[in-house]
Amino acid sequence: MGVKIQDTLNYLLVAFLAIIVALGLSSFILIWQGSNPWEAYAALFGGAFIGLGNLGASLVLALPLMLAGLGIALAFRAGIFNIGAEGQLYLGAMAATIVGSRYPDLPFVIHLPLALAASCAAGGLWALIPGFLKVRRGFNEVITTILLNYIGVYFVDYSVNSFLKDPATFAPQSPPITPTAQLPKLLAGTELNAGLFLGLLAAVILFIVLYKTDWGFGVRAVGSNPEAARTAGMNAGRTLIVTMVVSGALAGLAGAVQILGYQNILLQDFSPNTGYDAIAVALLGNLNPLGTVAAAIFFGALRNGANTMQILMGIPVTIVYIIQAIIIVCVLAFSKLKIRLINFKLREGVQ
Amino acid sequence: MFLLHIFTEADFYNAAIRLTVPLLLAATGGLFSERAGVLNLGLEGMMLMGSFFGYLGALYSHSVIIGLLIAALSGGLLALLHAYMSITVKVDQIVTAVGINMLALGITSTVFRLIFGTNLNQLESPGMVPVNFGALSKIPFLGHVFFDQVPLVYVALVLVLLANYILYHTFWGLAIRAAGEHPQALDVAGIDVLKVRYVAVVISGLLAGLGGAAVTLSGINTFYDNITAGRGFIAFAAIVFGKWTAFGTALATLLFGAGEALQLRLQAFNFPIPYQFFLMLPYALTLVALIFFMGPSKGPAASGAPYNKDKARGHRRRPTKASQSGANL
Repeated sequence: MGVKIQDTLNYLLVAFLAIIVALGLSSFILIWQGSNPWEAYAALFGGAFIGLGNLGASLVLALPLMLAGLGIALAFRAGIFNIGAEGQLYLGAMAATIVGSRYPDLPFVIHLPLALAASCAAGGLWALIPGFLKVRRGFNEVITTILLNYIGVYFVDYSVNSFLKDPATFAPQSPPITPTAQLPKLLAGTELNAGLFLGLLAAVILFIVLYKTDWGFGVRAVGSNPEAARTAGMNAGRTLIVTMVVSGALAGLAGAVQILGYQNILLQDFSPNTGYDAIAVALLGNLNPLGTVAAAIFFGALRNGANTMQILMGIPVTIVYIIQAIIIVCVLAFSKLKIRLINFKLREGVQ
Repeated sequence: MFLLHIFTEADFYNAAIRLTVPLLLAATGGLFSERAGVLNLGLEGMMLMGSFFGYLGALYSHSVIIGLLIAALSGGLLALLHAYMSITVKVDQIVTAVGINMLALGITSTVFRLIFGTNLNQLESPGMVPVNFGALSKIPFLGHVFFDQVPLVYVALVLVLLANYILYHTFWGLAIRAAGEHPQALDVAGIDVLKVRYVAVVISGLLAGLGGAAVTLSGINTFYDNITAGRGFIAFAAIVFGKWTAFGTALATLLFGAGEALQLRLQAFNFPIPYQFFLMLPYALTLVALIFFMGPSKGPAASGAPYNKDKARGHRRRPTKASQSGANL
């Protein structure tokens, strides 16, 4: 147990250093643009955290990243590279919209869970395709999930222009979600909704499943050494397929939370790149469910704060991508260096 | 009937070749990297860098050649980062690529906004114009298809032939393939595996950058966010589909180029199918082609696995990690 806490502390140090380096390198761009980095980052921080409204907005932006990130972390743990959260998220949002914008006579306690379940089913099924192709036919899931992303996003685009289009408007958008399928707001005056509970619940369940159950042990075993797991009599194929479906279901749920909790309407390209950003979230969270939650909140705050930074200082929001990318690269590099350091210490201790 | 009309027009084949070139360049570059044992999913980001900095270079220098050079260099520079992360630091190559692609998206879209602001009428850079072959261009049908293209098309074709020659008929190509199949053997032969891999990855970045410039500088001569739109991923898929050979990869990219040309024409013809399905077409076509026309095949044995000199010599370990890093396809 002592070692585990030591690992966590080490990782937090790594993540902290990565953030410092990312902010440091990004400040060159701010200086080139003619801004004072201190002022810019103060605006970023203020916009992200100061005041209940800002805090709520940061959490709202964090929710889809959190749920999709959890799914990706689970898949990566099993050694399967689910790059397909983007498509799974879009299809999940579409399924939630189909259920949530119809059947207004259903009671809340049935309608909302039904819409959420539909999103899980859609995301899970979309992830089943690459999972099945990998296990049964031996196709690289990286390629198939990326291709399915584009197909999924264009299909949702098509849906709001055709069978899901609101007949009452000319714009390509779905009818609004009925109140009986909306996630309730948690705080008056903010957009923060009950999706937060879904995210936190999913994280806790995933944490328990991964670290305290046989199935979770199987997932981690298959991920760290598939051949050994197979030799030990585990059905690696089935574990991979189930993992992939759960991963897709979580991404689908991320799409549902975005629609049912916040936007209440499906638009084309409603959440560009969330599925890819969630990969970064899962990595920054060290593929640990609780870490992923923290990373998602950090990214949500970064995104929300960047809006303030753009309004106050004219710095493009897209700078967030640079900061995120540098954090990812640094976390990867530093954690490798850190591992070397730990190994060295262990060896020293033995001698 | 619409389809027949499209397929009998020289313009379709002309466009198919033109649209293949960005993919062809990136995939040929990626082939070097993959044969040397480094998966390069970062091709997408490297193409994006090339498309932006190629445009920017051509715009400010008023020279397409300089634009192309800068495009290749910017792709190569990003590849150097990928090489450092996956070869020296030994981080998972797929994971690194995720960061690389995000970095490219961030740099290009941020610098773009800082330079041009929100002004949507941004400047058009000089672009490539079709080579004039004189009489050859006047040949009916074939003239328009083969002798009415921008210079980069012919450069790309030469590069494919060159790649094939280098990979299969030179000592250096042998070293690259050995680095991907059996790095220990290369090491024992006294050749620096890491150096071979570095060179291969940087080559992939240079070509991917050039491929990106082919998107911006052969007609539209401008840039917008995420303009490469997943072409780097398609190039990655084409390498698998082409079974890690230069000519196979080239044919696979042609399939996607033709799909894109078909998509554009079907849209223009007001074909009674929603346009989203046409946008989907190249991706769906690639997926279907992968699933139905290609049995599972194996990539280079050591692909995806970092090479650790001390470990390899000390324990004579075979690179079994390859199978879990998604190298088996």
